[in-house]
Amino acid sequence: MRRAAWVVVAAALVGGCAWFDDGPPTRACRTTRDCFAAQGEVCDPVTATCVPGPDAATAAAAEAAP
Amino acid sequence: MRRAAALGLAVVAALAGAAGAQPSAEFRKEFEAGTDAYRLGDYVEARAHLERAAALAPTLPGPLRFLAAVDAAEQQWRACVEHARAAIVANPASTEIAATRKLHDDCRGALGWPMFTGDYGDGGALAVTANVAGAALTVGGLRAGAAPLPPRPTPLGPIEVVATRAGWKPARVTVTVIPGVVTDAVLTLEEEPAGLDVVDAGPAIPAEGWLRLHAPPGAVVTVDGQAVTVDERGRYPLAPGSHQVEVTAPGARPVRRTVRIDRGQERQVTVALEAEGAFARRRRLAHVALGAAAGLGAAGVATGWLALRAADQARGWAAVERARPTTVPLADSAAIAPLHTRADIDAAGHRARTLGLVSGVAYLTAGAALATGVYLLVRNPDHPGRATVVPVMGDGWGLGVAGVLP
Repeated sequence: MRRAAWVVVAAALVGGCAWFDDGPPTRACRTTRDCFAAQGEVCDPVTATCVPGPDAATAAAAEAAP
Repeated sequence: MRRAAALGLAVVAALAGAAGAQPSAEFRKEFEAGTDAYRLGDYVEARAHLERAAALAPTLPGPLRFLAAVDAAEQQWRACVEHARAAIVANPASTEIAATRKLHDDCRGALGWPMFTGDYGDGGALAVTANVAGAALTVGGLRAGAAPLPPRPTPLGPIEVVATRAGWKPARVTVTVIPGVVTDAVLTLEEEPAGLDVVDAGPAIPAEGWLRLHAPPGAVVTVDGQAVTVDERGRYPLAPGSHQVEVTAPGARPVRRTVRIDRGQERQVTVALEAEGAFARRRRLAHVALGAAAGLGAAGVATGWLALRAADQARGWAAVERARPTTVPLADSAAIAPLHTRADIDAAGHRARTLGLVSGVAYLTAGAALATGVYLLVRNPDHPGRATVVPVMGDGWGLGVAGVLP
């Protein structure tokens, strides 16, 4: 009985934390500071999401080069 | 002073009402003389004039109301109550009805009778007193407890009140409940003379009560550990109070119930015996369901914790990547803080959402299993699901539903 009570308490704690948790990050942004600018991302003001910048593909290729 | 002002207004209203009803000149003369004498404090003369006015126009409330006021001034509280009631009955929609009701209530209060603080609604209230405390009361054919009965809302109209008590002759009275005030039923029981035949003693409450037990055939019944036998009507006569009733049968689980027996009342109890095998099966199923609930709950906790951890990790990585300087080559900054691409972070987020979903499903299933287990554990086949509609008298009248869930 005591074990069951502990399970209920733990379930309530974890469930409560999950309920109020912010969740994983999204690509939503307002400025480029909200994006991974060092990786070449910029904030698209039309869709308010982080998108690869014009030179991101080049930068990624350069990073991947041996 | 306030009463004088109210009564002054009452004179105007009563005269106006009397004018509308075309009372005779003689009535008006007597009524005015009565109210004048009342204001001057000559209550004897006021009473004489007002009684003549009331006799000339018995349906007008004005003289009755002033007679009640004269009664109050002379501290004749019972007469005051009767005159105020007569005035209310004469015209319940009178413009002076509030003052008349207040006068009625003041006179009742002076008699020491309990006041009614509830809401009358469209009805009235009834209070019952008897010279024998604890006498059993029946109001309108329904049992209503013991005397004295404090005021309770009651529908308008005549209603019979009966008081009974062992050793006393039953007393009955019919009163008419009127709107907006408490109607008092006062009962006087006469002591039963010694030596009278008990057959004539009326519906006095017997010293014992009865238990009518509906049990499967062949069941053995004991009350308080003693074997009992039924009377000619198939009931177990028992002394008033609580009793432990046990019903047993071969191959069945014994059922124990605490039954309260009241004097003169029959209590019906239905007992359904459950076979030992069925009981064991039900208990086993309950334990399986509770075990499943515990397991699913633990799974929900574990996956929920993993989901929280994955989401936290994704948020941490994203914060690092947002703060990563653009002026330093990635290779240099990655040596300090490991690089996580958008794909890495999206994958962690996806994992967090999936685990969260699994956790939610586990929680829901655990809840359902827990409810099933508890139901199987506490379900008592001895209490069949049955509801009974019964009349009730409490602060109001109505119907109640009594019963238990299966």
